[in-house]
Amino acid sequence: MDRVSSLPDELVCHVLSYLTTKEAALTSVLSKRWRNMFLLSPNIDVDDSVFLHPEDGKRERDGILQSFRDFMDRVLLLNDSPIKKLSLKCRTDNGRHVGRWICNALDRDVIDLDLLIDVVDAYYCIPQKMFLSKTLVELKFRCSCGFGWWPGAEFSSLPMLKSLIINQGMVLSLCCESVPVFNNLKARSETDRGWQAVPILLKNCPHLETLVLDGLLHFKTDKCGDACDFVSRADKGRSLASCPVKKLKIQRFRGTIRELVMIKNFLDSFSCLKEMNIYAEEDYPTNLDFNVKTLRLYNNCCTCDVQFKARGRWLLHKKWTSAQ
Amino acid sequence: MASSSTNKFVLKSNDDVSFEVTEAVAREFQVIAHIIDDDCAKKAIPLSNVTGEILSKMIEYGKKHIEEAPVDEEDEEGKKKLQIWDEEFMKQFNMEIVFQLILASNYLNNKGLLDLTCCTVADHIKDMTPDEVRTLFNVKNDYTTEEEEEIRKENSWAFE
Repeated sequence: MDRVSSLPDELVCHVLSYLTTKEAALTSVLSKRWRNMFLLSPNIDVDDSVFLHPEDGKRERDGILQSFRDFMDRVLLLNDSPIKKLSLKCRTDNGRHVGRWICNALDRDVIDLDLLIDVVDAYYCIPQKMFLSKTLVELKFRCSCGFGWWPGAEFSSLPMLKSLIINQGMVLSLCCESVPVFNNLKARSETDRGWQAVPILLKNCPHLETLVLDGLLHFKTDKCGDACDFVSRADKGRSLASCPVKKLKIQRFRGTIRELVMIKNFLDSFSCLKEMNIYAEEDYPTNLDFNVKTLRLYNNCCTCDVQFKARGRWLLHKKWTSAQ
Repeated sequence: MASSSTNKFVLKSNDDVSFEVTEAVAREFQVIAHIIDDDCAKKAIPLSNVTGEILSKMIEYGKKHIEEAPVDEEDEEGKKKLQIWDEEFMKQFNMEIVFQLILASNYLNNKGLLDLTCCTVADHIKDMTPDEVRTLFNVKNDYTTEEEEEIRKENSWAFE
């Protein structure tokens, strides 16, 4: 008995949607009924480091890359049913393929794009289409290339976009002119990268509700504006004051004085902030008591509810409201 | 009007087993929620496609997800707890039962359970060779050797 035959195709597809595209593609060999079943899955999830085993030179073998590219074209072109998610992590010396796949996914009304592209061809640009989607809700984009990848961004129109996660540096060109309507935004800090993008980003997100800062420590530059602790107050812009963000989450907090100063700055400047959740990095902070004391002090002298979680426990919790 | 925590409804399986559930649990299943909204739930609701064994498990799942529902979107701890319970819950079933649960949760329209059961089947397929998958799912290979070879060649990036 073909037990899965008792499941209609739509349910088999639902099962296959929980597999990576490679795993799902292997089912094409099971029987004729299964041959093209995986093509109907609404999720495409490809990570070429998993199957092109870089260590044994498979990538370089004749036909393998071509076989993969033909396959991707087939997966994306043979069908025009809507796609929920395209997750693509790959290395390529020719961005044209990747651009075509992204365009195909956009044509199929993709909702969630998660891209990690390592492109060798430095002159290649991401298709402008990526910034003109009526359906895209989540966009996570990291690539080895610099700003050159974002020339279409200034005309962007992403009315459904709720969440954007990108390399910090790229935010800059994305937000130059455009006004994407983000409700949620997550930005990751690297200690060797500046925060030039943050003020521009905040200024360009008039509907921002939740801001997640994954790490506060970053490389100081003179363009970080008022988001940073480094620039003297007179030279800072007013990106924070005009930002409507209600909820701020700070992750990978390490308890340094510099971070505490930045937090105080956020509390003073974000005029609409209602709630701030601070999550300490594992094994941090070492000076826990001092941090709790300082944050409690902040909590007492502002309207925002500051919560602090470290070592798996909430050390500072909801504000006592009995006085009101 | 009685609140949904006190309202009770009776669900009847196709092998005549009856279960009394609260309105909240009954509403975990979209199809039943519609029956309640259409005011057609005065008597026991007959479910012609579900056995008592399967229905009792579905109700157990529905109850748990009502009782332990995460407080809000941000309640990571609550979500995690429920997720661990889900995993344990699925461990008691063999594949035959899992398939019946898929069909039943699709029929009664409970998205959470449908996702959970489909994901469980997907986990079984993962990391298996095509032959192992065929054996597990009892799929008869109706390709000729040449046809199968052609498909393997077509997807050589994935098979090698």
